[in-house]
Amino acid sequence: MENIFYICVVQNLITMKTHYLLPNCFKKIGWILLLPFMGLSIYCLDMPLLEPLRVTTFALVEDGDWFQVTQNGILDEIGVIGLTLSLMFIVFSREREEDEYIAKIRSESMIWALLVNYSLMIIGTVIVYGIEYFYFMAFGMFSVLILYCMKFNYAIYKFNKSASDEE
Amino acid sequence: MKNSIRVERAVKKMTQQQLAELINVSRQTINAMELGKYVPSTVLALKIARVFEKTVDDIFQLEEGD
Repeated sequence: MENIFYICVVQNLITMKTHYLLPNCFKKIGWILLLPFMGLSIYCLDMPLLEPLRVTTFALVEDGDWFQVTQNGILDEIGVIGLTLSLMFIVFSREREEDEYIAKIRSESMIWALLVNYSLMIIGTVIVYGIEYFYFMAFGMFSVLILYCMKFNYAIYKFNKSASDEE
Repeated sequence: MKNSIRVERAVKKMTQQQLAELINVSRQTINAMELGKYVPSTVLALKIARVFEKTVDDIFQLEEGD
């Protein structure tokens, strides 16, 4: 049992560049959790103020009052955190076969996602107004991860397809 | 940068898959390097040179635009 642990540690040290990545199984977990938490978050967008699951929480700040112990319905917090975690599981999990070319694809996809995300944010700020801007900002909390997911998976698909060019 | 990985592979009668397994990368990475789409890291270039029993300069050459 200890040997397996040391082998895992050594394997990780050998592949130092990707030591921050989660094991591959987290990708599936992320995808499974994504739809329920996305549904929950979208549902919570239209919830009235008096939500279920009211508990006593510590608030750093709430309506101008700092460091308060307050009552809050935590269903929307659960939705947001769950959605963020499931997206992070998908984004930060290892591929089955990691090598340096995939590391390059990974960083290029992230840079692309950041650029596109902030360009869309600027365009949206100019053309979206009213309460819809709140929904737009809420989407903006997750759009980087979503864009990265789309670009990275497309790049990996093209990468795998290129394997058919064997002579 | 141009490289002669494909030529060296043919000399040793090695497939892309075999070379990939020897240096611990995927076959698609070997393919990308041969097509000039990817410049390998120093460590990977040294590993490739060692497999073909040559120096790095024999396999990889700088081009005008680099």
